[in-house]
Amino acid sequence: MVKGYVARHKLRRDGRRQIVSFQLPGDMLDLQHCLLSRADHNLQSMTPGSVAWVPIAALSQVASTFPRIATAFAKDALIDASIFREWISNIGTRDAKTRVAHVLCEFVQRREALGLGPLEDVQLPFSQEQLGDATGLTAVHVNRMLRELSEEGAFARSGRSFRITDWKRFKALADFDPSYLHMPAMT
Amino acid sequence: MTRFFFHLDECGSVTQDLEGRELPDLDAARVCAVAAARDVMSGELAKETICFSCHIDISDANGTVLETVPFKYAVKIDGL
Repeated sequence: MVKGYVARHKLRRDGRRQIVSFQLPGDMLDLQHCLLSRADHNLQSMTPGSVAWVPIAALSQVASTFPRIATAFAKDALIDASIFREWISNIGTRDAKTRVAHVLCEFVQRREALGLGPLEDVQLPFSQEQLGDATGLTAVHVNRMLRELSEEGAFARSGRSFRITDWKRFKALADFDPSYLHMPAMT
Repeated sequence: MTRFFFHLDECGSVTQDLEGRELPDLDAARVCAVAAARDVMSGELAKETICFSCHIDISDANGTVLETVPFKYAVKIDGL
């Protein structure tokens, strides 16, 4: 993914969608098919963007020629797995408000670590419905939770614009501990 | 497809829907509103209290309310 935001998701027969992760600019979206032959989920762009295509054979060649790159690819997959584990526990153990806050917190943290924008001023590229699909909630419920979070001081919200003035408070409301992201340097 | 908006009215405290959702028709919007009512109530149930006086107003892009879905019509209660 060169520019833009993407979601990984699974679709049920009745059309219901579960977003299982958000991917950010710079992410390798499909290392999976270097080693696995079946697509078990979908990639969907959440915004306009640009994608770079790399032939699988070339990717595999680079990995086998340069062990440190192979290690980086493996590490990427392991960190993805850690994030998936957190998303499972998010939906399984957190209430609606905390779930929404956690997904937002994670997005803001990852984005900031990539230098895509400051914590204080976030333009969220996702709709209420997409946040709902990521948290197992309806868009109306998400909207209500965002309002509640804003009333509790997590952020000031205007549509998809979020101003975070108290990052510590936001993280506390989200039950957010960024260590599962395995990032080298964190704010 | 038409864009419908779902405003949550909790006994006078209104959470406006500024985004809306594209749906084929009002029937589909009603289905969506019922699902949303049940979802909001599920969250409330986990915290003990459900309020049946709340409702969802389905409106068009001009803000005209097309239909109101009361919470109490989104559930059936047995065994009371």
